[in-house]
Amino acid sequence: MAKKGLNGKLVGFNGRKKSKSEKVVFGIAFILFAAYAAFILFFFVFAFLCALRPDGTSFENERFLHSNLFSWPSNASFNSFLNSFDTIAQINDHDTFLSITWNSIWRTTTYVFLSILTSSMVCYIIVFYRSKFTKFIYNLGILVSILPLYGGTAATIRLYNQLHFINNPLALITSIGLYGGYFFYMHSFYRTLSWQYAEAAFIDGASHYRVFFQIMFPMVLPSASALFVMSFIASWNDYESTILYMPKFPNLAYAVYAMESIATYNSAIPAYLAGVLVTLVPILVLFLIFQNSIMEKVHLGGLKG
Amino acid sequence: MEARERAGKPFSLKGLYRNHKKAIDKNVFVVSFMFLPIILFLIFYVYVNLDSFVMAFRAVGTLEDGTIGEYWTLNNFVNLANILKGGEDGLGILTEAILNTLLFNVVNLFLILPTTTLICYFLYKKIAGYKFFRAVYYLPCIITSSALVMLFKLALQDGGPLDVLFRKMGYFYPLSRSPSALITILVYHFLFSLGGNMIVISGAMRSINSEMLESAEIDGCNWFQEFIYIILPSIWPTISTILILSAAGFLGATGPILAFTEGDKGTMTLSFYTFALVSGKGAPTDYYLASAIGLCMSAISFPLALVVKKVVYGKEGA
Repeated sequence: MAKKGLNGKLVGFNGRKKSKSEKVVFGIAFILFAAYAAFILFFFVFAFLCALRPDGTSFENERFLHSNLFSWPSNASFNSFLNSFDTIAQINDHDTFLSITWNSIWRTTTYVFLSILTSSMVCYIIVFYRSKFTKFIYNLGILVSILPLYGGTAATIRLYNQLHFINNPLALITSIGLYGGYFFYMHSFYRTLSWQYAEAAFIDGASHYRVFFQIMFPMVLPSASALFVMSFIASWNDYESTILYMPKFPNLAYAVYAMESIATYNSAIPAYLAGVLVTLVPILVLFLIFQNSIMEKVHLGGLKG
Repeated sequence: MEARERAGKPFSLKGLYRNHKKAIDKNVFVVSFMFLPIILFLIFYVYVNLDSFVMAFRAVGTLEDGTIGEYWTLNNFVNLANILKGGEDGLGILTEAILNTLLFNVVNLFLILPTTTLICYFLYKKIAGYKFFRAVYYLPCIITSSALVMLFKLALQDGGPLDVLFRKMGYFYPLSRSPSALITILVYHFLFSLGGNMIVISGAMRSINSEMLESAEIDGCNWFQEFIYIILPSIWPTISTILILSAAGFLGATGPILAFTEGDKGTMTLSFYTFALVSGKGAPTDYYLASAIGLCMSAISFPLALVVKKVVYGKEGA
């Protein structure tokens, strides 16, 4: 695809020859990028090496890293990873690692499924069933997104108490929101779809529900799956809602938060770090599977009414 | 169009029924999709925020008949003013929270957003190993902040691996002088938030017409000119959306305060203070004061968000 530019040099959008200055800039950028990537990965390598320390070793007292920084511990042991399940369960006296993991799974899955599906349904109506009403709903969405309302948490807790939603799985119904589930992203996805597919289906006698569930929604699904994963990650890592609304259903993120004080107090740092790494595994696997969807299919437009 | 088609046909009751049925089916469909979200929006957004507004003017105490209950008062705002003033020992916690919130906004707006945009540009230009870099840069966003904070604290503390590394190289470990907790959190916030907007900014760059870039290259446009004159204007709708949302959340800007200090050691932010007043972590629980603070924050932020929207979109979007 090389072309001749005005200055006679070979150019081309992909794989074209770079000028010297560009090579220098991209070279420096590469070094900085690599350094930043190494910085981020450093914490995980560090956590892994610490977690391999045998149990009972106090991080504070022995300063074990002085002698073998980043080297494989001579007496490496995976006991900490096995013990981490018990360490996680120490956050209270009635939960086990499995029950905490299960709480993470059902809370996150239900929340994300409801919010993304609802968002998808609402955006579908707004984009393809235009009327004064849907236009009003969309403009209201813009207003809500730029209307900064703070301090609602107190009133939410009060309402949750009145509805007996505290420590109640029924509270997840609140994930069905008009503007939840990455509303504007979802709206952008639907705007890129052609209505002709639906029209063809209507001519063939398909109902509105069938057109949505069997034609339009599947078409938006690859992009929506990226939002699903993003929402899943955010919800999986949310420990503040456990503190406020679901203290009797602790999730793994809350366990990591609560575990910190226990681990520091008991000098069980290796087990704590092993626990942190163990809790990361599901979300890391999910991310690695869907990273291309997340990175390449999500886009956001403007906020004009 | 349907009306035009109908105009040529004789009137038929069946046709009328069919058209009515179509309209009814459509309306039933729309209502079935929108009903529950609207009802829940009215309850958990509209009602909650109205109640929050009311709570700002209420308090709990002994009523005239001797019972305990809620009554109307402006005391929350008086308390708020007192906390804002602080005592003889220095600034009030609220003043500290406001200043820290401003600092987080400065970091967000002037450091994180430009750096992320630049990173996205090089990733978009497919710098060597770009797929690996973008996955690694997004890692901090997929990990619960409490875990990352703990790793950060352990790795950077005295006797930690960075300390050892510096000493082995014969250098003085710069963090051994215990920098203020706030600076540590700000540095942490900058270093681990770069991936946050990466997805949307990268998405905006991908949607740029490649022919435009090709013709710019043919005209001898270098990378910097391309970035400034083509990329930035092309992704402006996305950047402006980020700016407007940032303006709307201006007073809510914060870092992982709960995981780091629970607001201690001069690290309080407005967002965390209202959370602390509700959760009891870092401050005594006071729902009514939290609502009053929230009301003041909303009153300040809303005009700001409108002004930013008007500035970034001009007359068209105002």
